[in-house]
Amino acid sequence: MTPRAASLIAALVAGAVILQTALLAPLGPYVPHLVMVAVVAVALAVGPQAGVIAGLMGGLLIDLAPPGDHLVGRWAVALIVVGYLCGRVRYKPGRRVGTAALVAAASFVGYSVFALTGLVGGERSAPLSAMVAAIAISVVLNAVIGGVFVPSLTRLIGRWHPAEALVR
Amino acid sequence: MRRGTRPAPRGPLVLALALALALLTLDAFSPRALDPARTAVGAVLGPVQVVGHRVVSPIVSLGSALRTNGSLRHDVATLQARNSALESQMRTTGLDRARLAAYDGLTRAARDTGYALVPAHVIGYGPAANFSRTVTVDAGRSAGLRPDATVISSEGLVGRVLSVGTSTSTVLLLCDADSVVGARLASSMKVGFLRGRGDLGDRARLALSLVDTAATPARGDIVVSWGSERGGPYVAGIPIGTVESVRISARDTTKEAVIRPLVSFGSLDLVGVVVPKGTRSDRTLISPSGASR
Repeated sequence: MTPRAASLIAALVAGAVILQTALLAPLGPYVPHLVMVAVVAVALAVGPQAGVIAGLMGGLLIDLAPPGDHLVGRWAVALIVVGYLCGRVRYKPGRRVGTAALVAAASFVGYSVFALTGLVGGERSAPLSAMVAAIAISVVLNAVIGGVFVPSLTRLIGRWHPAEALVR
Repeated sequence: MRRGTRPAPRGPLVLALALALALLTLDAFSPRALDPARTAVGAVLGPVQVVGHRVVSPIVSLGSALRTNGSLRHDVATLQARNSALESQMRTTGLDRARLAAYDGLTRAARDTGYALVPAHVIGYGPAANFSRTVTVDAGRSAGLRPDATVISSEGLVGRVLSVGTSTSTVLLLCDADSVVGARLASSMKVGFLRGRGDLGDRARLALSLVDTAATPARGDIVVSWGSERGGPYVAGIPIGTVESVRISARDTTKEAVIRPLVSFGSLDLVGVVVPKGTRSDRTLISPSGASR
């Protein structure tokens, strides 16, 4: 991976964090997780290694960003797992429905890992029914956003990073 | 390498997970340790969030404004109605309290004096241009009132019924210039005649001239009604006022005491009209036993 591609990917993830915290957080409790969608796109376009790094970076930024209402590292763990798994999937995002399904699955894993780290860390958590409802709504929102944006995002990253895109 | 997956070295995954879990553990066990990092990220993202909030909040509030407009209007109407109800309640609280106290006093008066009373409210003052001091009360013949019945309030004697209508009556106040009441000094039992002077307000005074010209009323003496045959027009023993001063006229050697009435004639509200026991009335009588019938 060229330094240019790496910095562009980092900028993409950081931009997702900024959009997430600045524009989506004020909208309400149920918003799509843009950083997760960006990590999925990076992992699909480049691979598990980039997915893991993007997940670590995006997750830590989200964890540290105000309001810090959870332990630092929870989103990092969740997004690392998401980046790794998505990076291992050999899938070229083309059809929106297929991409949406993939993003939905990745989001489900991500939210579940986040919830589990909360349980292990002993943080206060919502009742199970509320948790399941929140995860379901968020997964659907992520799937919609991912279905719309992930195909063009992966094409964009592939242009920055042609070697890996050719391998695929 | 399975089909559909790409080869992936586990090293970065393990490293990244180890780092994240280390941070997680650090944050869990010493919550202050990561504050510098939080502060740094917050310093960068905070201003952006402020801008973002400024951009987003009008859109959000527009949606919620549209969504809640109807219910807000309804809330405003409900609150306005409740507010005006409470305001009017508050305005009449003092009145209600005064009326309750007046009823209490009237019940006490009935018990103290031993007469049955018809409660009545003063609903009008006679015009001053008539040069008589009368009030109209909202009880009449159907309430059991008869002319010459004694009218008292919780403070003391008010006057007597002058004329009776079906549902209203005219009461001649003690302070009317034509009013003459047989009265006696409670301390010495000396009798005399009490005349009104025509004043109505706080300056209303009554003039007491004693039959026994040798007797001198003392200041502060209580004056009570003397009483007439069959209790009309004035029943006996109702307190009227206190002696304020005594004037001695050298010419005709009479003594006239100025009586300050117990009743405030300018602010009469609830009064009781003395009626014989067992009177048929369309309203509840206040009986001497304190019970209402």
